[in-house]
Amino acid sequence: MLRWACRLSGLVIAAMLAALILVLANSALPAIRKFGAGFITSSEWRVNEIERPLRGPDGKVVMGEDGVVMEILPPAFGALPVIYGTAATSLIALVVAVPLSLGAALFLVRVAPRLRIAGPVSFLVEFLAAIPSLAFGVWGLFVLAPMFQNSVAPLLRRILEPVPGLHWLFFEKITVAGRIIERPIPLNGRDLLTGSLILAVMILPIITSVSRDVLRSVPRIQIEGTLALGATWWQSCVAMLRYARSGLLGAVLLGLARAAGETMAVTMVIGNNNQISASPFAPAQTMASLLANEFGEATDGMHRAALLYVALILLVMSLAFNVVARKLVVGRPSHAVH
Amino acid sequence: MPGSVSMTKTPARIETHSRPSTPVVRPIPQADSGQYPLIDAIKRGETPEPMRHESVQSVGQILDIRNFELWYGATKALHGITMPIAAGKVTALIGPSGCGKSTLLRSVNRLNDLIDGVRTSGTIALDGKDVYARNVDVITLRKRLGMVFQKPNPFPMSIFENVVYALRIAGERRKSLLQEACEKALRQAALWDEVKDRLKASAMGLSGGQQQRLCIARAIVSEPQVLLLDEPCSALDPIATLRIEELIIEIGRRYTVLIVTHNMQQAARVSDFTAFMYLGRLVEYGRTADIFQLPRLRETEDYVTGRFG
Amino acid sequence: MSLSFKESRRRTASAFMYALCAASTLAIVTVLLMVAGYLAWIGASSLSWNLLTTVPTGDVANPGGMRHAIDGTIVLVLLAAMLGVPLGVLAGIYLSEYPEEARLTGPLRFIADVLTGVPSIVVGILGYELLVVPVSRLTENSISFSGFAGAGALAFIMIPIVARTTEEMLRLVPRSYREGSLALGATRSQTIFRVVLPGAFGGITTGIVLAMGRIAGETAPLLFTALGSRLLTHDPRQPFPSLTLQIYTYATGPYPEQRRLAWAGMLVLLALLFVLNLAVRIVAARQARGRLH
Repeated sequence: MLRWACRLSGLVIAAMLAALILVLANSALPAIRKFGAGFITSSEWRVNEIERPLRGPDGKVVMGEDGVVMEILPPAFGALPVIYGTAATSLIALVVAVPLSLGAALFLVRVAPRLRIAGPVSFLVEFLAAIPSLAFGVWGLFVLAPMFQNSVAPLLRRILEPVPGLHWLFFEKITVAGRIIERPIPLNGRDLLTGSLILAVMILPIITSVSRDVLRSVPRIQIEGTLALGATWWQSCVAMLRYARSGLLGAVLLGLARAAGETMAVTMVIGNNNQISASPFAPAQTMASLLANEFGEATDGMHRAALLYVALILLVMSLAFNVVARKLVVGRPSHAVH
Repeated sequence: MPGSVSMTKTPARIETHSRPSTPVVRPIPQADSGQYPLIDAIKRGETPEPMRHESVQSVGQILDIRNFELWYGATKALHGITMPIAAGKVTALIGPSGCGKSTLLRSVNRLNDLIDGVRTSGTIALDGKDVYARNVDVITLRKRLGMVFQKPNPFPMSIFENVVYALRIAGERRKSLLQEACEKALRQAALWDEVKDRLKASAMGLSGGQQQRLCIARAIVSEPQVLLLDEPCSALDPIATLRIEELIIEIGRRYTVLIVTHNMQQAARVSDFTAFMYLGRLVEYGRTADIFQLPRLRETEDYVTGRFG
Repeated sequence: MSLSFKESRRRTASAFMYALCAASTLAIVTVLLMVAGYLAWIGASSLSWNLLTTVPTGDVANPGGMRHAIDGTIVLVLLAAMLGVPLGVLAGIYLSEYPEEARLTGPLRFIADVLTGVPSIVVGILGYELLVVPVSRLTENSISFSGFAGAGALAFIMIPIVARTTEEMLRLVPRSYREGSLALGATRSQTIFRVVLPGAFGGITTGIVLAMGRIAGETAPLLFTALGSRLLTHDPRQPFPSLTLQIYTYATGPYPEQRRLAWAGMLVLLALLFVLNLAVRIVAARQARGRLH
């Protein structure tokens, strides 16, 4: 009796994963059929048909017998901008968060217990992990974004703009009436950089706490071995990091998985613009924020299928990160990523 | 240097569970009251004067332990240990589990500093300078002392990098010098012929005995003044143990060696001097031949012949 | 003792890295205190009794309270728990207590782990495709957003978490307990119900409470399932309000008074989660101590 109830519940878990993949794949099927693999390399995202004057190679409007000749651009869906947005925000977040997290993990393992502050600090880190994504979004929207808009971004602009070769950070090229013009990017604090920083804050606790556990499992005799040979504190830390490197890579991957799938906080501060811009000060969009923004309003069949295609890519990607990460962080499989 | 001595540590009372080297009071079943006056006094908590043979005083000393005491928190683990260690000889520390022999060994290179709540008093002089003096640089001190642990602990890198680790962390980059030092240390550790063709291979792939010889090579590569061996064969099979013992005898010709062992035959085979410890006190200390053949205390005689302990 | 230049440079480098590690820790703690502190500061100034007792008025200058949303979150979490707790606990028992079925439980454990890493927005979309669209077709409604769909999406997140914590807690129960019970002739289910589960009860409860806290803070899974509502409703067949959805709507909206409400609502949610975390930790610590003595 009990065995069967348990077995059934276990199978529910398997069914959940199957449902996730099958339902998304099935609903995305029209888009998969239509766009195929080209979906991930195309950067056009046009929900509705657009009618506009046709321009010749000289950039001038083409005139026909009945006046201006119009061209019709059909709806088009390509995931490259959101894949780029997800990759860029996640990578910047990792660059910021990984050194901080590893430093804090080393401190927690090798210093804090001596100072008898390991408990309180660990509690704070774990509470940080329990704060909902939405709270970071609200904070990012009302505190971080205005701070960037009013002080950080203008300051960076004053310092970096005169530097030769950094012009592109603050200017974008747009096409207006057939001509390419250059204009300053409006610095309103809702951009790729702010989104990345919010993500960095959000993945700090998970990378810190998993790395702490990984480092804690480094055998004591390894550390004593290096110290007995006259290693300094930092040299023995390096040996420790090296010993634990695969577990630490797993910790970083868990952080990456969380960053890539994070929705609410990013949606609120990234500016939500489906474009690829070289500048981190330009608004962008991630896969998750695109879904949060558009899925509710997607009435058109192909639009919805395209969004489901994006969701499927996001799912497969985070499943892959998780599978690899969990293989690496041996013995700590239960760590919730999200 | 605030960080040089900090590391992961569990409180001392947990330490006592995980390491056999910390004092655990054990009853001695065969101990017959009256038969062992020194042991009886120790069990009453006293620190009687040990039987120190004249022979140990007459040789040149490199280490001089004087009235050394150590506490793990509230527990006193070492009581007034005074013993000179002869330069260029092999000295063995024997005694039942928990008698403090490993603790004493780890006190010489101040590895016990890493354990929370450890306090010491008395002196351990290396070349006439107290290693516990205020101005001693612990890292420099440890570079002058090599240590090999109970379990082989190769680092997860190549054999070559393991051997030259001490030189690397001292900033040595000259390839030829490193290679030379590596070969020399591996030859001295009697491992060269077995690994010379695979120096770039991971050290984790070696057998237990080879790993321990690698650890010995790693410890002697920077030519330490004293080599500290903490039960180096306790995790090895009999054949590997035999090879390590031969190696210790060989190395004992070049280096001063202080070895902790729970194996009396091993102490008899490899050492020049032997110290018998009990419950954190020194009991008898003399030439190995004397300790095993002509011990002056009944306690020592019965211990080395396996009648008690 | 004087050191060579190279040696003292290494000491300095080590001290520097030590300081950097300490600074990293400090930075992380500071960020946490900044986020929590700011939310508390601004939120507290907008906190009022009305927030907890009144419902939205429709007037943007005087938007009323969040009673509907607080109720909504409580109902959603309880509904999700009604589905998620039994399934999760049973699955956890399966993973821990039937080692002879390791060929099945091994992969299931891995799947449960991987499921905890699925982005919550994807769960929301699955909820829409599975619980909203088919119901719309059945009832011939235009779109059937509902509290049930929202609770289903939250249960999806909850089940793997509860399963894995249950399993880990059961594993802490010493083997000798099971063997002792089986040796007395008890059946496997008797052993599980009378010996193993009671032994792990505290830990499992802790895990369940934390999982409920976790889903109470979720927004993305509810966007396309419960949808949100400005009405005080307890009928889960209707579009359903939740604290997080209401905060999101208000925070991203243009009206200052509503934004103030978003701060205050966030503070309520965070305070709830903080108390939950702290309480669970204290209880767990006390139990651990009790077990040692």
